[in-house]
Amino acid sequence: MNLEEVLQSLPADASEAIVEHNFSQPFLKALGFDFQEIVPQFPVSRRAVDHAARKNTDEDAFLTSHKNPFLYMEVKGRTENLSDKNHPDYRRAVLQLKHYLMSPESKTVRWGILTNSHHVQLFRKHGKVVHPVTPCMALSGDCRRLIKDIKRRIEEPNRALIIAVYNNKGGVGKTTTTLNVAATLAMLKKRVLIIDFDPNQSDLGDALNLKPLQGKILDVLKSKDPSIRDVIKPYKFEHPRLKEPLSFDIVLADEDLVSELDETRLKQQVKFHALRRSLEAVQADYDYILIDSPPNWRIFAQKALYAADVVLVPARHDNLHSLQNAGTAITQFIPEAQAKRQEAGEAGPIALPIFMNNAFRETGPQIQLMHQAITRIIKEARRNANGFDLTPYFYPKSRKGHENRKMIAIPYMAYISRADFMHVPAAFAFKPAREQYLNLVKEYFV
Amino acid sequence: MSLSDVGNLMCLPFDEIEPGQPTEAHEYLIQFAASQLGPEGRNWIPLIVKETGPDQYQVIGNSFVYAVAAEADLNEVWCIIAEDTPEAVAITRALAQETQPKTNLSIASRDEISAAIDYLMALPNTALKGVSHASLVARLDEAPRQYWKTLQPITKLGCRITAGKKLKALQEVFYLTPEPMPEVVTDRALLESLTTTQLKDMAKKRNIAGLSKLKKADLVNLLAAA
Repeated sequence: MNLEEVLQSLPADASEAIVEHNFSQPFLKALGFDFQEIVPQFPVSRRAVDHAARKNTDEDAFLTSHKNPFLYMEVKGRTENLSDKNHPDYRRAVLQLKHYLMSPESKTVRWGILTNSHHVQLFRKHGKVVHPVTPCMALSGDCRRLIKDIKRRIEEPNRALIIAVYNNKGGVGKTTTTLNVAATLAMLKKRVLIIDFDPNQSDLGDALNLKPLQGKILDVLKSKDPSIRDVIKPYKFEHPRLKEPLSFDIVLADEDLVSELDETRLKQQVKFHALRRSLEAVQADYDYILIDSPPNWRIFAQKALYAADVVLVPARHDNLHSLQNAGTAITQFIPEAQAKRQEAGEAGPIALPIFMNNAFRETGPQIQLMHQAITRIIKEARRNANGFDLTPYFYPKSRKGHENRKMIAIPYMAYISRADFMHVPAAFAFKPAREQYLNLVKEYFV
Repeated sequence: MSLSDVGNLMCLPFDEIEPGQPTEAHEYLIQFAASQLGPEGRNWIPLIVKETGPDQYQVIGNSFVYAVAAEADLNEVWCIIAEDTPEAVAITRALAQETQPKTNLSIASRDEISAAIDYLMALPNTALKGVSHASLVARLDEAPRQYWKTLQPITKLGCRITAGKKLKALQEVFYLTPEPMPEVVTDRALLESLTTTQLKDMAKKRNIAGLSKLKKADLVNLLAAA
């Protein structure tokens, strides 16, 4: 039976076992996996994911070796609601899939599929980040296009994770974070590109003592066939004790984006997906692409968020507005960007847990005050933004039955601001700063 | 029906139970719990005991409950009978939080090291004042700790851990199961962590002559190049 016949013959209330038995094999086969390349009930840390798959190579058959799985598929019954993002069924299923993907045995896994044979959603694993690639797509009518879409995505070579660094509030350290995260990733031998998308300030270039470009980005954003490669500049950090220089690539800000055009003209000339499209052209050349976005929710920030896979939100513990704005970004702006991206058949950006920049080392009344403020923000979001739960974004280590209010933080360090005056990333210049950012990068990405 | 009592909840006479490891809880907590319980009350959180002989039991977990029962003058105490194996005792003590958790530093992952150090630093009156969590974790993670025989090399990592009370604090949570050092070492970081005598022994084993006048840096260069 081919996939369409199977889909039609499945009863509307088919249970998980029936869907698993009848639907999984034809579906994975349609994605290009042979009978020899699929292992059902693949054991992952004491539990088992419904299916694991990997293409066979000449010397190694996946069905016999069970080594290096490439894709996991978690199947649910038709009665479980996977189309509504806020439904408990969906949340539970996503958590389960993420748990499988993040297990230490799943190092080689790059894709996760969640399906109940009505709907399908594709997730990608990039280092420590699991993010949705497609929205929840309905498997009705002609499903060939959908299969083709998923197949095209999973067959592509490894592509960079696009990270937007964003907070609606200014002065929380977006530029410093972008720069130092990029520097730390470069030290871990990752290929990194950073994009200064804040032409009003163009601080990122300035932090490295590089002059902004004039008009070039505008051309790239306007053109239909973008060639962002022409405006990429390498940045190298050399030191007599380094065997080879540390380097990452950078796209500098464009002065003309603010001086030549006002915002309405810019909106007329530059399409919403312009940045995303130009980045896709170089996505295969890098492991990480970081976008330094401006504060506020205007055209540049919108484009940056639209282009991103994940959003890193820095905040400051001593600044109530930065916490509130972080909450607003997660409950409002990121869903807006997601909705816009879903028109193009993609899932859009998800928020990573908020991290505290310039945090205190000592505990004290200020920390107490911050926790009180966060509790209020979480409560308000639950009331106003249809039950949106911000807890995992503020307290990522909290679990059911275990209230852990540990936050990811970079402490205040004189080194970090001192490096700014020296026009080098602090992570390159000072070991204590590097170790802090290494901690951050290991927590989130690697 | 099994004939053994293992796994059962039983109401045992208090006299038959021997205390195990005594609890260190504050007197005030014990007095409060005893006043809630009263002489007639039932301890809904059971004692965990093992059978040591006929009508003889010994506490292996929840010794706080034992102290409260003694304070409240209970005649009978509700107990769960656990297996008399070292594993069961270890699990019970860990679940009742009555044991100091320990991490094997020789094989621990970065996350485990990070959690252990975070735990130590969050203790009241921690000995690790002025130590940077991120630095210590990063340097421990990169150090050749699988070969360490003691925790002494931590003092050489340059993250403000000295051989006094700070190292002692770390000894509370870390233990080591060292691997034997390989015959031929060329890793510079590992060589530098050894003493000059050890380096000379290593060079002698590899039949390198003319060592007596060399300084440590020269020895490291020589061995790393070989």
